[in-house]
Amino acid sequence: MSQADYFQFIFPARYIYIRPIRLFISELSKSVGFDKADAHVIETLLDEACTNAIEHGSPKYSDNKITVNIFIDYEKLMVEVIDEGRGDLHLTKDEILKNYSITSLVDINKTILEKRGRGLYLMSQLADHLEIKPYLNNQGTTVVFYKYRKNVEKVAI
Amino acid sequence: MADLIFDIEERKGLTILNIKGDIDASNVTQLGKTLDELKDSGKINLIINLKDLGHINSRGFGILVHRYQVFSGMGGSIKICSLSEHNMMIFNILGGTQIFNIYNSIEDIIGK
Repeated sequence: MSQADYFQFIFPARYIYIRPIRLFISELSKSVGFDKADAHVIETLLDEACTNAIEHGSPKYSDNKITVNIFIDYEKLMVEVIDEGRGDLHLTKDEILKNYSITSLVDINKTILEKRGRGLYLMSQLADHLEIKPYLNNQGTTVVFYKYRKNVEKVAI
Repeated sequence: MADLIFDIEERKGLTILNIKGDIDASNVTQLGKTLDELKDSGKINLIINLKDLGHINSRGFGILVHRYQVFSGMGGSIKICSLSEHNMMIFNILGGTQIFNIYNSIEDIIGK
């Protein structure tokens, strides 16, 4: 990605730090031309990715770090959320959609008590692009999502 | 921790839980605890008013679904009202509209 503006946050794996970054990315999205609805979608995507990174990718809890990289170019906003977890997952958006279906999420007899899986499914529905892949040499997991601008030609950064 | 305020009121014999603020992983246990306290005090026919809910993530939604099952299993119910456009979209995606009875406003449930 060339000519992208870039922001980075590195923070201890604690849930209390998600909110300030969530609010930052919402304001950032609006500042660079995303409408309020898309800004809230981006905020939700970041929340889900960071929550997963802390819950599943931080075996030493707050001794682990979460890294959030935000790239903005003329066509999209791209976010990477990197944890220090197992680092062997590689899932595309299509694979996530195959693994988590809305039918299983609302099956009152089977999985209603299952609280996991909803976050990834929600992300797969909200993001224009979603991918989960190992970070470097399996040193963690990276979740990557994009949200494309609706009217690229009207936006000048 | 994200600000989260619970206000419980009784109107026309019904218990209404008004939730104000954002629900995320930092405070979702407060939501579960509040719902459990209502259940333990026998208030199992509940209206949850989300007019002032700014943000909810999948964990918060999961707590609502779980407690819905618990309340229903005891013969009660949870009705949801006044979701914002964004939060309604989240509920739609996660199947919430198939699980809960969702109303546009509190007046649609209890009358004016």
